[in-house]
Formats: sequence, C-alpha cells, structure tokens
Amino acid sequence: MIQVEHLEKRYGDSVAVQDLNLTFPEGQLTALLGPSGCGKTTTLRMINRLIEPTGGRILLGGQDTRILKPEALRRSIGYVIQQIGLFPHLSVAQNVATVPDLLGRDRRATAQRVDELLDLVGLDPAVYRGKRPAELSGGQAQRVGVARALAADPPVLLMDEPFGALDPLARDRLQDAFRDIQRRLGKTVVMVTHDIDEALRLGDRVALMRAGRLEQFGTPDDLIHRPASEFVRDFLGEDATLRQLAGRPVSAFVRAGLPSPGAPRVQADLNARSALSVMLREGHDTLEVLRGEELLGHVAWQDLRGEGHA
Amino acid sequence: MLWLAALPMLAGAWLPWVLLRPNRLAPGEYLRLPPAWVALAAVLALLPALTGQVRRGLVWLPATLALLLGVWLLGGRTAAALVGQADFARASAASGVWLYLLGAGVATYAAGLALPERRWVAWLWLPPALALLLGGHLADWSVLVEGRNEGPRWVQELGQHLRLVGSALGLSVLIGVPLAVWAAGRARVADAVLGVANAVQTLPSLALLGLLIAPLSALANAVPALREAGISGIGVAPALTAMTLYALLPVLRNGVVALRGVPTGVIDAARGMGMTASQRFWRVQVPLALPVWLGGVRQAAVLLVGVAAVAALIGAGGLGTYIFKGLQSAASDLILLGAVPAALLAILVDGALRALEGWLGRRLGRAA
Amino acid sequence: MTATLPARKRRARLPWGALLWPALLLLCLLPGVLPALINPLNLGEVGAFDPPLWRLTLTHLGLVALSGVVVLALGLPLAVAVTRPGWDAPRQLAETLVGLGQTVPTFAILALAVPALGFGWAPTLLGLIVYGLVPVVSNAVLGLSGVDRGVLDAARGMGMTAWQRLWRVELPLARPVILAGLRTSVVYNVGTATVGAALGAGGLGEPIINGLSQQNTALVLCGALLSALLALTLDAWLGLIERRAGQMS
Repeated sequence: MIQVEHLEKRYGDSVAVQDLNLTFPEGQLTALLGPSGCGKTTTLRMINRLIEPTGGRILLGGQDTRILKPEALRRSIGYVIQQIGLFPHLSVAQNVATVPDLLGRDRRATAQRVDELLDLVGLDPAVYRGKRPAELSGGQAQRVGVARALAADPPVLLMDEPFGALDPLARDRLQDAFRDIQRRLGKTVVMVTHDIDEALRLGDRVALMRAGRLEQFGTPDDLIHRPASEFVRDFLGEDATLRQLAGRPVSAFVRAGLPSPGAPRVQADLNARSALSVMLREGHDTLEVLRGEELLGHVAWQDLRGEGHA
Repeated sequence: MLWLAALPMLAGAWLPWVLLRPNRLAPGEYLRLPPAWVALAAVLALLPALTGQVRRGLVWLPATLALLLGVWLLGGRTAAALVGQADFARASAASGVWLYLLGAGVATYAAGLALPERRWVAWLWLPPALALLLGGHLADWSVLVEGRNEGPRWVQELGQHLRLVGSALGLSVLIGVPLAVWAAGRARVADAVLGVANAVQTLPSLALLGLLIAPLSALANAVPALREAGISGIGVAPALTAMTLYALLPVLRNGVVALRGVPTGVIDAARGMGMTASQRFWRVQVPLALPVWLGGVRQAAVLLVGVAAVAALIGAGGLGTYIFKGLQSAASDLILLGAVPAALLAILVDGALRALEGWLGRRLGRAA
Repeated sequence: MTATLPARKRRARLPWGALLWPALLLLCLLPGVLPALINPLNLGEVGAFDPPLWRLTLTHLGLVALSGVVVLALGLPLAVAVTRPGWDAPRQLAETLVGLGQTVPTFAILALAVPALGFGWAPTLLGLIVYGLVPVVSNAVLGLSGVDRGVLDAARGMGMTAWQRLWRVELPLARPVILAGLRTSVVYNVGTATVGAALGAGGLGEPIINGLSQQNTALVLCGALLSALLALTLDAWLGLIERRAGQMS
C-alpha cells in the first residue's frame, strides 16, 4: 500500500503537484490519468524519489520513503518507462538481471529467475536470453522491460506510459499480457497514462488529475457513471461506456438461460463493444455466446448498456 | 572498374621503369622495360579484366600476380641497371612502376570486393611481397640503398616519431577524458568546449606550432629551471604541446558527443532501478560511449602521425626530418624514406584502432 | 569514412566572426602594422618583407581557391557518378581511396608529389587537390545517398528524367552537406598550403619556415598569425554560406 499525504512539488513559482492525498490500494492497479502537464508523471517519479517532493510525504507499507537512501528505495520498486530504456550493450538476460545484481544476489539463482520471468512475459528464454535489445521489436523490448522491473520481486511497480510507444496491435497484446501477469502476481501497480481506454481497461482504480490536483479517485465505473465534476465527464467523453465495453470480453456479461431462437452466435472472447455492433448489424437484441462449440449462455442489449455492470 | 585498373597498368608497362643516376642528386636517364617484359606486364594488365568477364571469383589470381610482377620487376630492373655502374650510382623507381602498382592495387582491391566473404584474398600479395623485400630482392632500389645508409639513424627517427605520437596521444587522453566527462554533464560547458575545439582545429598545424614557439621560449627565458629541463621555443617541448592540443580536440569532442549521445531513456531507467551515479557512469555511460569515443582517439592518433612529420621543422625529430632533408637537398629518395613510412604508419594505426573499435562495438552491442 | 555535417542550426546570431577575422587580417596586412605589434616583444627583427605580406597572402589564397575549384570540378562529378545505382564497387573504391587520403599525412602527400612534379607550387597544388577531395567527396556521397527514396520516387512518378532529378531534387537537397564538406576542405587546405612553403610554393608558410631556419621567432609569429586569421576568415564566410543554404532547403 502506498499512501500519499499532502504531497506537493513546486518549481520556483509554478506548482506541479499540489496537496495530493491518495492511497494506492495493495495488490491493485491504479491508473494515474490526466491531460499532459497535470502532474501525473511528477507524482509517479516522487514515489521512487527520482523527483524529491517539496512538501508532504509518501508512505510505502506504512514507512516514510525518506528514511531509505534513494538508490535502496528504487531497488525495491519496479520501474517501467515509455522509452523502455533497455541497456543496449547488455543481453536480454543481463538486462533483466540488473537489479538482482545491484542487490548482490546469487548469480545462479538470478539466472533461473531470469528464465522464469522471460517465460512469464511470454518470451521463450532459450530464444531470447542471449539476444541484444537491438534485435527485439518494440513489443518484445517492453516485455523485457516488464521482466526487468519484476526481477527483484518488488511489491510495487511504477509504470510511466509503458505501452505508449508501441503500435496499436502490439499495445493491445501487451496490455492483455500485462493484465494476466498482474492478476497472477498481485503487485501494487501505479501506471501513468493519458490514454483513457488504457486506464479504464487495466485500472482497478483510476486517479484522474488536473493541474496538479486530484479530480476524482475511484473505480472505472465510478468515474463513468458517477463523475465527480464536469471536468471528469468531459475528459472521459460521451462514449466512455463504449470505451469500457471495448476492454471487456462479452463473456463477462453472459447470463445462463435459453436463448431466443435465431439469435446470432458470437465467441466468448469477443469484446463487448463488438458484440454490441453485432446486435445492431443483425437487428437482434440477444446474442448466443459460445466458447468453442460449447454454449455459455446469452447476452442481451440491456446487459451491455445497463449501468454499473462490473 | 577492372578495365579502369588496366589503363594505368598498360601505361605503366610502356613508360620508363627505372631512373638511373650517376649519384643520388645528379640528373639521370630513364630506362624502359625490355620488350619481352613489357609484353608480359601488358598481358597481366589485361588479364584481371578479362578474367572478370568470365569468372569474377578468380580475379584475385591475375591481379595478385600483376602486383607481385611489379614489385619483382622493380627489384630486378634496378639491379640490372646498376650492373657495371659506380658505387654512387642510384636506380630509382620511375613513373612506370608507380602507375603499374597503382593499377594492380586497384585490381586486387576490386577482386576483394567481388568476394565479400573472402575479403582477405585482396591481401594475398602481401606475404610474397614482404618476402621479396626481406629476402633482399629489392636491395638495389635507391630508397632501400638510402635506407641502408641511414640504417640505425632511421630506426632512431622512427622511434622518435612513435614516441612523439605516443606521448602526445597519452597526454591528450589523460587530459581529455576527465575533461570530457566533466563537460558532458553540463550543457553550456559542453557547447563552449565544442566551440573552442572546432576553432582550434581550424588553425593550420604549422601556425599552431609557430604560435607556441613564442610563449614557450619566453617561458624558458623567464624560468631557468624549465630551460634546464629542456624546455625551449624549439624542439620537443613546443611540438609536444601543439600535438597534445591538436589531439585533445577529437578526444574531447567525441567524448562529449558520445557521452551526451547515451539515450535519456536508458539513463532514466538506470536511475529508476536504483543505480548510484557512479554505477550509472561505469555500467551504462562508459560502455555505451566507448566505441564512439575510441573513434575520436583514432582520429587523434592519425592526425598526430601527420603533425609529428611537420614537427620536424621545429627540431622535434621524427620521420619528418628525412622529408625536410630530402626537400632541402632535392633528394627524392630521402623524401620517400620519410614520407612512405609515415604514410604506412598512419594507415597501420588507423586500421588497428578501427579493428579495435569494431570489436568493441560488436561486444558492446552497438553494431547488433 | 567520416564526414562533416552541416553546422547545427542555432538561434540567429550575429555573424561576428565573418566581420572580425577579415578585419583583423586586413589590419595586419597594412604596411608597418605587424612589425609595430611584434617588434616590442623582442623575439627578433621584423623589417620590410620581400615579397610583401599581402603578396604572400594572395598567393596563399590563390592556391587554396584554385585547388577548391579543381576539387569541386573533380569531386562533384565523381560523387554523382558513384552514387548512381549499380556503381557499388566503384563507390566502395572511391570511399576507400578517400579514406586513405584522409589517413595519409598531408605532409607526406605533398612531399611524395615533389619527385614527380619538382619544386614550386605544382606539387603543393596537387597535394591540396588530393587532400581537399577527401571531405568534398565523402560529404557529397553522404548527401546524395541520403536523399529520401520517397522524394526521388515522387520525382520519377512526376515524369522527371534522370538529369532533372539530379539537378532539381538531389543536388539541391544535398547542397548543405556538400557545402559543409567544401568548407572543411578549404579550411584544411589553408593549413596544408602553409606546409607547402617547404616545397617552395610561397604563401604564408614562407615566413614561418624562414623564421624557423633563421631562429627568428618574430617572423614565425607573422606567418602563423596571418595564416590563422586567413583560416578563421574563410571558415566564418563559408559557414555563413552554408547556413544560408541550409535555411533555403
């Protein structure tokens, strides 16, 4: 758990972050969302003290981050950035092993850990272990970036627009992969993004910031259906519900029961937004949802457009 | 391109091959190759191009043979020309030799290009040519006669040349590396350093040598202790100072550029992962900057071989001594004795450091 | 093969160098100015020069300018030729030779020309041309081969002939890089030409070499100062042209 209390950062006269109070819940992914210049990256970088706050404090597991040396603090926190920042002169395995090496961990154990992590992020260790960063695609490089951040098994992961530099296809794939990883490991993740879809899709919680202040903090549903201000509503936009649907498989909305006859059939992993389009196209308000050949149930128009269906 | 190489070779086979002079300064007579040799040389001049029409992979064979024929004939014809002449007579290579060797060189180079996987075939001529040289076949060539006469003194001057280059390079690295590290972290300082470096490089090397004489001799006059230590306006001290200054620039410039060229994302990641400043420097910045930086050291070294030749003018010694002696007494053999080794030295230094750069680049993942 | 890139675009600045250096150069060339400046230093006697300093400066400038013209006349067509498709082997040869020219010491090139051409300005001119070709050819090759494929394709698609593409697209786009090479070439050649005085080429190296052999530091200082000012002047002027060309394209 990360607690931020009265956090403030000033540069001369200008204020980047002002009186920020926030608790990032343990084991959940919190998206720090907002327009550029709203202070979200500054906030993130204050957590691992790449930027020192000018006021307030940050508690990590109940402990003030200032009692540790900055380097020691950072070694206990995973860090993933948009530019990826793999070391081009080191192999993939050496890159992933960086923090364990800094911590002086046993080499042999680290080597094994590296293989596990590459496996975890979906890269075959036998193939990728010895490659150089220059030989990887953008998506593969950021997978290594994630593995590197997880290498020392830190309880907390900070991510600064981690998928921002990838092409849309690679971004989608990596977002899915990362969500699975996050479910399995249960890390406390803080992810800065300006991409609303990404925040709604990945975030257990979303913190929307504006001009250095917190505008609203809550679940994606809270923000969409109970916006705290005009700004929140405007920022998420009219089609916020649709956006949210785009990030979920239709299977999340399935109800058991007998389908209406002649209803179109869709596969369970289709995203809910596309399912909605199928209804419109086919002129049906119900769909049969299948996994492979097996009928899971059906889904109705109201289920998808209905409120607060988490 | 092979036909292009055949042209100078054909001209070379026909042009005078040897210049025979009664002594090393007197005017002499030009001797052509005997007709049979002209014919053979001409055939070998055309053979690489003709082979190239049929099988490009085999061009190296006639090209290498042509090059070796040129070297062999130089030795043979100079020896033949000196038969029955007095001791002072000199037989030097005339335009024909140079053109023929130039053409053959281009042909072997082209042969190497035709075989990208086996570039080394372009160097097959080297061992036999060296054998001819060391075996004494070229002993009557005027440049080697001159070299034999100079003997130990030439070795000494070569040593002095290497010492000058080595010390200036060492000093400039010693000064330049910390300076570059210091400047690279400060944008304004880095800009200023690069500006000054470029301005000094604009200055003619001879002018820089000349400009340093005045302050150094003034210094030596003012401080007798320095004069006793051998520092004066003329000699090794100003040469070394100017050479160090000159070499400092590429070392500094490439250092600053290389260190500043390390991607900010990489530095940010290193910081975010908890590396201390010195860990970032040694584990990230240095390995990433090293190949480019070494490029600066190589440029400096090559530059220095040249400046050291000019430094002979102010009495610093080195191979330039022979060039100036030769120029003063109009003895081309002496000029060659200084200029050719200086040129070879530069090429050798360049090649060696380039190889090191490439190896480091591969090891450090730049050239992946 | 290293190439000099065009001067980085900076914020508009007064080209003070383009005014200061030539002004200082002209000042030093006024009769009596240099001796008045240098004689008080007690380094040696500087009297009247024979030939006068301005003649030496003109000789120097003439050598550099002449070699510059020849270098452009030879180097540009060469660079254009080797950047045409299908000329890979000659381009590699040209790059190797040019690299070799850059590696072999200037002084060695000059000296090696003496046995062939005798003493005087001829070997110096040859050396200046050989040495001056290096940056011009390497930059021109870099500039021409750096022209965006897409732009060339568009030009072809519009129906331009090979000549029209060269004149209207490739050369204008490569101009800043070529000019940067010419600048480097000319500035280096001012330095190379000083060394040429050892071969009897005249020019501003003459007082330096005479001064060195006569142990007259004042004389050395005269030549060194003037040749340095000449180099700085030409560097500043050509830098101005280069920057203007960079803004146009």
